[in-house]
Amino acid sequence: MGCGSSDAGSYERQQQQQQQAAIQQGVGQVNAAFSGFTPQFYQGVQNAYTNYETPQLYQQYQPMNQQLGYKLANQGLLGSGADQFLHGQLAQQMGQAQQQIGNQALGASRGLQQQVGQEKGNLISQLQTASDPSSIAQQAVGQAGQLSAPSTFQPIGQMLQNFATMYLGQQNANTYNQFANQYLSAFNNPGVYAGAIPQPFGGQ
Amino acid sequence: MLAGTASQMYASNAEGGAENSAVANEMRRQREYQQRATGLFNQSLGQSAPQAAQQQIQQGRQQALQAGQPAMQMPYAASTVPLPGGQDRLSQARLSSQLGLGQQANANLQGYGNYPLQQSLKDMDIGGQLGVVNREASQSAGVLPAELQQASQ
Repeated sequence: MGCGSSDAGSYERQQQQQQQAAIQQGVGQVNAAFSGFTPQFYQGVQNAYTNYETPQLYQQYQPMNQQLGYKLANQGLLGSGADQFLHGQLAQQMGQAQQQIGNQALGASRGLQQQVGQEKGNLISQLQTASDPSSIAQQAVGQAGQLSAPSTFQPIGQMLQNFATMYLGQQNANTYNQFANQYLSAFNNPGVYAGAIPQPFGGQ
Repeated sequence: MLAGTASQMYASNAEGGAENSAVANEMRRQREYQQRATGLFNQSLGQSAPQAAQQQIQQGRQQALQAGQPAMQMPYAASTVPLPGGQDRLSQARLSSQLGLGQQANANLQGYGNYPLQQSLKDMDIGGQLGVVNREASQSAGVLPAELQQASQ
């Protein structure tokens, strides 16, 4: 080889330039490869999320809407102001639930973008290590693989529960209250229902 | 890192042919380590491309579909009273269709969960292999000063 100190300096500079060129080329490769992650790719998970959650929401909505109709009919309130109010409340809850699903679908899409971006960063760390294998950049590469965690998607849960609790439950309470009022009415007017209601304290 | 060490060694041992040979050999070994590491990087890049991501997502969908098969094969209760005109079968077919569509939608979504998992596994694997190359390169570079010292004596 026969290199002097000036040759060594030249060799060192040449090696450094080669490393930089390799990194630049590699970054170009990474950018080119990742340009294939188009908006349509991210839209895919958004659509999949919506297509998964929306039918579940309607499975909750339909029986609840029917239950509301049955209860209103039982109480002779179909077409009343109460009918309009309760159906309006249900529609509002439904709209909020749909919005929530849309937001979560958007969140899933953004999460996927974050994972792709993280992977791109991991690759650039690997590139830096590859261009200079004995460097300390290896530590970052070793940690990179442990950052990602697989994502799972859960069913939506009870999205219309508030309506059911507040209004359908309230209707049950009203039904019982109606029964209780009739009972109390009979209790308070023993003359009308004589003998039908047991009298407290022996009728005194 | 090696280049700096080599430069110092060259400076202090410029006239020694043995020293130059040791440094040249070490430079050659480092280039080989670099080639191995670059191969690993290229492998990693190939497994992160959009096409690979789509395959991983598709694989995740298939796994989710297979995981749901036992549940799909479970018998579900028919009406307690047989319905006239074969409506029981119609009802069951409708329910089965709904379950199938739900399972497909679930699989389409769960498939996306496989992508970060596979990428994470791949990064750990590549990171481990790069670690091996790193250690070998560092150890090899660490021997060079001793070789130069020995050659200068």
